[in-house]
Amino acid sequence: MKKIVCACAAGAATSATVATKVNKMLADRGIDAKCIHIPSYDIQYHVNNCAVFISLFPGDKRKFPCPVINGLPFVTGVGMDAAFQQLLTALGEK
Amino acid sequence: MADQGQVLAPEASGYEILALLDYEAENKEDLLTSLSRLVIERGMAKESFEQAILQRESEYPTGLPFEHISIAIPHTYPEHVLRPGMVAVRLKKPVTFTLMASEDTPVEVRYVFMLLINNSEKQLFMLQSLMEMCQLDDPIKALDSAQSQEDIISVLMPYINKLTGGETK
Repeated sequence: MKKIVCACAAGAATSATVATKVNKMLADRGIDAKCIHIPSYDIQYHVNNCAVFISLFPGDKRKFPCPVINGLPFVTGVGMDAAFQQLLTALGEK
Repeated sequence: MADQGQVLAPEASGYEILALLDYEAENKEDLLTSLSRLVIERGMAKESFEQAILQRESEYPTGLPFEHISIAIPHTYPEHVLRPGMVAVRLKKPVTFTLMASEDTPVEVRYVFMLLINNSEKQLFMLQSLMEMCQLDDPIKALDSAQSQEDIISVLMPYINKLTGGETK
């Protein structure tokens, strides 16, 4: 199962909202991947073993070894289909 | 301040909502400071809440442009919160926040939902429910036409109750 990581400041509110939505969309399509939500200070423990990183904050200058996607569309629903497509592409799915 | 009063929602499983109608603020710092004072004075948050939420908003901005409405959901870490709740604010004039996940993209917001989160799963559902509400036409129109703080709260309550009503997924 591929791991997707979504981070926000505390890893409790906004990133959890995104993870819930992304996991539902993945499950609906039968895709073998799971999105977890973490606080930004835990990023270092996850960056090296995740397939895609979903970001919800600016100013993080760390280099991610995986594709990075903006999580905002999953919060507001605006542009969400395009963002999900981007996620699927990053996961190597059609 | 007579027209900027606040109303405490009927207790929804211990979750308190304060509503402010046509509230005026110069800028987001001014707004966050006065909203912080409000919740601190009500015993809903610690003194440290004010600095914490200002700092957090500058590091992790919360402006969210939905299709029909732009809002901000300022919040901060649970250790500054004493009781969970929300301050729902309809602004008289838009206030500029920064777009979530951006460095400095401005968003003019008319509604601010300041969240007092103290680590409960229920409040996560609350936020999800609030995000769903913002994607719908009818509740936004109802907020726009609200005449009183009670009106604002009655629009929000179904979404709050959905959360605190024990929804699991």
